[in-house]
Amino acid sequence: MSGLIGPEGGPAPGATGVRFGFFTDSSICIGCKACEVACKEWNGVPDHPLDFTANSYDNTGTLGANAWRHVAFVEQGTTTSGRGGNGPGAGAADFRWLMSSDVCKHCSSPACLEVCPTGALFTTEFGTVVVQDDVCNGCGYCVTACPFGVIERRESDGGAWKCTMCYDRMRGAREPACAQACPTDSIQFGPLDELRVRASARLAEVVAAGEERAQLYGHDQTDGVGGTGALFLLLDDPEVYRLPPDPVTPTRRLARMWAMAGAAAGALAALLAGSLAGGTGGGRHR
Amino acid sequence: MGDPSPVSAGSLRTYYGQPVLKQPEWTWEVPWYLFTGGLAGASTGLAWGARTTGRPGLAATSRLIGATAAAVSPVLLVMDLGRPQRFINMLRVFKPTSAMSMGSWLLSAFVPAALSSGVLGATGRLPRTQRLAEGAAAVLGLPMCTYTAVLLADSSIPVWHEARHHLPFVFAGSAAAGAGAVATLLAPAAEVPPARRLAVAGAVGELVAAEVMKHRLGRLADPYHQGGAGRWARAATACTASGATLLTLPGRPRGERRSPGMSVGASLGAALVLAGGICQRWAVFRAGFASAADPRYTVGPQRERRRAQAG
Amino acid sequence: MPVAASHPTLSDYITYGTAGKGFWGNTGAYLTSLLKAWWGDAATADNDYCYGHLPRLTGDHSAYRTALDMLDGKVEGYLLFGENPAVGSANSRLHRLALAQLDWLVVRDLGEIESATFWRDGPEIEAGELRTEGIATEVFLLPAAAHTEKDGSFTNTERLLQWHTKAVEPAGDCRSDLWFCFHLGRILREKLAMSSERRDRSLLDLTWDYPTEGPLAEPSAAAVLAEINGCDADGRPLDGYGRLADDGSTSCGCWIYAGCYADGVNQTARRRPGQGPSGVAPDWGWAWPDNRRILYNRASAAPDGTPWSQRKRYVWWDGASGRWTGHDRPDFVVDREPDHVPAPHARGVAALGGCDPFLLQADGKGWLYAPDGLADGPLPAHYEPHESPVGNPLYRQRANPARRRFPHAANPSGPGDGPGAGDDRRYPFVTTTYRIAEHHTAGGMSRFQRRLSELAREMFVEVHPELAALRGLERGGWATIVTSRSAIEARVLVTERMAPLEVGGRRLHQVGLPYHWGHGGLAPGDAANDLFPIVVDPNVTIQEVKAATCDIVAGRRPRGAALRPFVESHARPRDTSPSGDENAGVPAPFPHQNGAVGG
Repeated sequence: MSGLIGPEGGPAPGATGVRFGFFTDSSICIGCKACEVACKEWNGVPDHPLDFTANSYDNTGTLGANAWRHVAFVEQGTTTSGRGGNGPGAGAADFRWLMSSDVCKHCSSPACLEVCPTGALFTTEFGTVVVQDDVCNGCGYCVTACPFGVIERRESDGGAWKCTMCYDRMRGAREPACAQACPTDSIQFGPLDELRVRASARLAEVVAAGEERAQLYGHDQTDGVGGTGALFLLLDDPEVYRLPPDPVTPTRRLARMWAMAGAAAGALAALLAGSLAGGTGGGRHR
Repeated sequence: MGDPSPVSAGSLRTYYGQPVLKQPEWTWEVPWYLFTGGLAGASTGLAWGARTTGRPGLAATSRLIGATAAAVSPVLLVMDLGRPQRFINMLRVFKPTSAMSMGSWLLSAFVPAALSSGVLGATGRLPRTQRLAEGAAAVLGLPMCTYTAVLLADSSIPVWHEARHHLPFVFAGSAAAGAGAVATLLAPAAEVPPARRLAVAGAVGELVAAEVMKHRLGRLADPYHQGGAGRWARAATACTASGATLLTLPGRPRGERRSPGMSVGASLGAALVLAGGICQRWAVFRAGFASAADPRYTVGPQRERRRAQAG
Repeated sequence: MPVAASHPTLSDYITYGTAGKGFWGNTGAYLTSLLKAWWGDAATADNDYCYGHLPRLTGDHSAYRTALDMLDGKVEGYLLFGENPAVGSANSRLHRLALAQLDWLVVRDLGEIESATFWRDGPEIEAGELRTEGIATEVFLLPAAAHTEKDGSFTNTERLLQWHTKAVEPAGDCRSDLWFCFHLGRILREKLAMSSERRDRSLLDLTWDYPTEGPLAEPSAAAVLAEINGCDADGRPLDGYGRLADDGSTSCGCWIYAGCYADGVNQTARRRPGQGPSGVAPDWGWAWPDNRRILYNRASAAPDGTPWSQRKRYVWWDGASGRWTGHDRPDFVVDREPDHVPAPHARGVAALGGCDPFLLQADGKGWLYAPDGLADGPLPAHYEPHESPVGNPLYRQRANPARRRFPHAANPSGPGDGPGAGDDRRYPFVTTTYRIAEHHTAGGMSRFQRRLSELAREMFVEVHPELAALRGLERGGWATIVTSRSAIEARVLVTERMAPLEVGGRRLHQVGLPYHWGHGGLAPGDAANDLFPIVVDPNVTIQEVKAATCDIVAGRRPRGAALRPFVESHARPRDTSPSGDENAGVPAPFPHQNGAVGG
């Protein structure tokens, strides 16, 4: 680890201006949900009353105002094919149980931030994206903008909430609560440049070990969101974990949208002019 | 539900069928705002145009319609906020990347202009100021009708974002149709024909734009054919089309005492066009929710894109 | 613990506990030092070191026997420290019924666990089997301090003691177990101070002088650890059990812990991570005995004392210094040469040869053939569980004949021994219990916590898709699981993980049940342990809750007074004609839905 990380695992004092991020290596996630609990404890996130989902061991369901970390549980394949489950472990070869802890992506071009009409969302000195609750007026625009379905308005207080990457802890030179709590280091925190290198190296290892569908998510800085500050190593396609396969920051296409709105306004002006140009009811009939 | 995505359902994988995206937080105020904003914007334009083309009656009517709709619009927007008491935070920043920020600034210029134009016009005081306000409201009214399309399209909601090139024309047509229809109902009969023409032209524009939009959306347009959004969309088409048809028919006088140009059919037609515009806004609004709720609308096109890139 | 009839004197008991060879040869030193730790100066050679003060066993006092005795009205009072038998013990329904027969019950726990509330909201109250007004048990619920609210040590199964320090004072009336025991003893001693009864001497003679600290007069946990560590005649802390003597000159609260407070330093509080490639961290915490991280580690070297593998070498004989050495503390007589042959009549440690690494075995050897010590030895064997739908493919003896069954009307069993057990249509599936990461055992530490409860709110049952189809179980819906003990309901989780087994020529479905739920807390649910019988293994009396026979049907269980009739009707013998219809004769969970209860 570089000198950018201090003794408590957080950004070293001189590390402001460096972009920090998460690398979530789902290949070693054990689905313990310690990240969810640590996040809620540190950040005082309210309960999210949810029923039993019957979706494997996932009862959190989704990221949202009251769940800033969410562990997905994916069960793939069957245990009864092959030799027909004869004895312990037999026939289990084509079954696997994937787990991955999801979190706000802290996009390079964050749609939530760009559409926020109050400036409540801002980019921190660590390159993370944070909502200022005392500014947010709960317009909900960020909710429709986020291509990952992360940010959400909280019913109890009307404001928009999401992962802050523990901005307060980072300012105190500590690593985010989820990363600290993760018992397998599936969630790693650090300078994004270093995490990107580490993620690539880890992917090579995992692929070499036979995980042919393994892939990095958020690593490509030319993707629709400019890459993310939260990288993931996935063992299957993103949509399997409920991640959009090709997310795009909608504001990237905004110039064209404004142009079309202008053209439509022009068309409206033409309609008005055309209607008024015709006869009857005009001045000439006075 | 049928297979809505461009890729076959069999090869499309999701997380227990759960949505990738969040449902918009917006409630009933927003589709009504889409309507009132468009009505206000187009009516102020019609008012200015009617006055400059020497139709004072139509101008007065449209001015009042515009002022009324303009007065209602910000109320609806504030009501929709999670924290309405903080509506003023909208004016903390000026942010071109946020259609809502631009809309807030636009609204905060347009509403005073439309209101003062309406009030001064009705009371006859400060005529020069009134004319200035009326001109300003007319100019600002045009983007008032179409910026809301950007408001919706500048999002990750599939049917909104993917309709980003067509939605402004749907809203522009709908705004024109609405302004024309209300004026048709309320303006002095002698000056109704331009309003009628506007209503018909707007309705045709709205219908054509909506059809083009759905066509271009392809399988993504399924929400416009299914469920609640589908019912709104069908109602919108039926009302707008029948209303426009009625408005184009030469009508019999509705009654001796009323304006000679107005007929029962025309009134009904105007009302239908107006209702069609409201339904259209609700259809767009609801289709957004439906497309966010089904992960296939999100994953399908994106997976297709990835395949195209890879292939 | 001494048995009343067999061990009247200390020497009887020492003789009983002493092995001819190895470290159990020093039992006298360990016992005498223990008695000195407890009764101090009062313990002398003349009075057998207060051996007479020790309570005696008069029979089976294990938890399950005691519960059955309780049920039969033979037990007056009960103290529960951090246990929740109303949820966590096999046949938990029986335990709730038993607790209701007590005169008094003390529960010390972090929350209002089910074992403290059975009298007002337990399932038997709902079912009408018990009435609150009819329960005479006086329940004292005493809030306990959590580990963050007290000093103390954790001892893990790898024998590592790790000290933890109080982070915050306990809230409200919460107190540590140490506080409770110390002050209870203090008060009892004060009340008895004037007593001249002989029976009170055991209490009055105790060394009960731990220093207290802080606003709550919390006894010093470190002082208790120091007492356990023990000291020599001069009061100096012992540095290991090798120093223990049988002449009353040493005291030690637990011989294997001797050395945990060596040099007067709390060795368990050390926090130096491991250095070097061996992976051993000898300065992190302290492992019993003698801070040894791997037991019997002399076995990591060949008989001649050289490592079996140079790469994995761990402990070996250093011929130059004439001592055993290595990464860990050698678990051997440190200067005993590998080729040492003991004298013919040597006893105790002296009887260990240089190739006898298993110091606590009577012959210093590892045992595959165990003629002594195991109730069901001498060799391992395969037995089917107590309840099994299949016969034993290896022997005529189906289940372990030495298992303890606790026959009782409230502890019935499903298919018994003998042929035909596998054809029982009443309970055609096997069920097993296990834990999930979100909850802790019987839920006392997790189901009362918001953060954990919301992660796993509802009791659920895991079934394979085939079983779900067979029984019409809907994903996310309800299912009722029934055994001869009881019926519980759970939400259905359909998963490939519950793979059916191919056993005895048939496809056998498994019903998976996490056992964390009970009727109380923020995440209430039926207790899986209601379904299991009290049947324990003959050696360490561990309950058999990993396998039983059951049935599972769709829908919620009958409520109130309808529950017991449902369980009983399900237990009635059913047509076992080989119709092949798995559903034949399966009663509906709600009898009125089918008009009549099947059976």
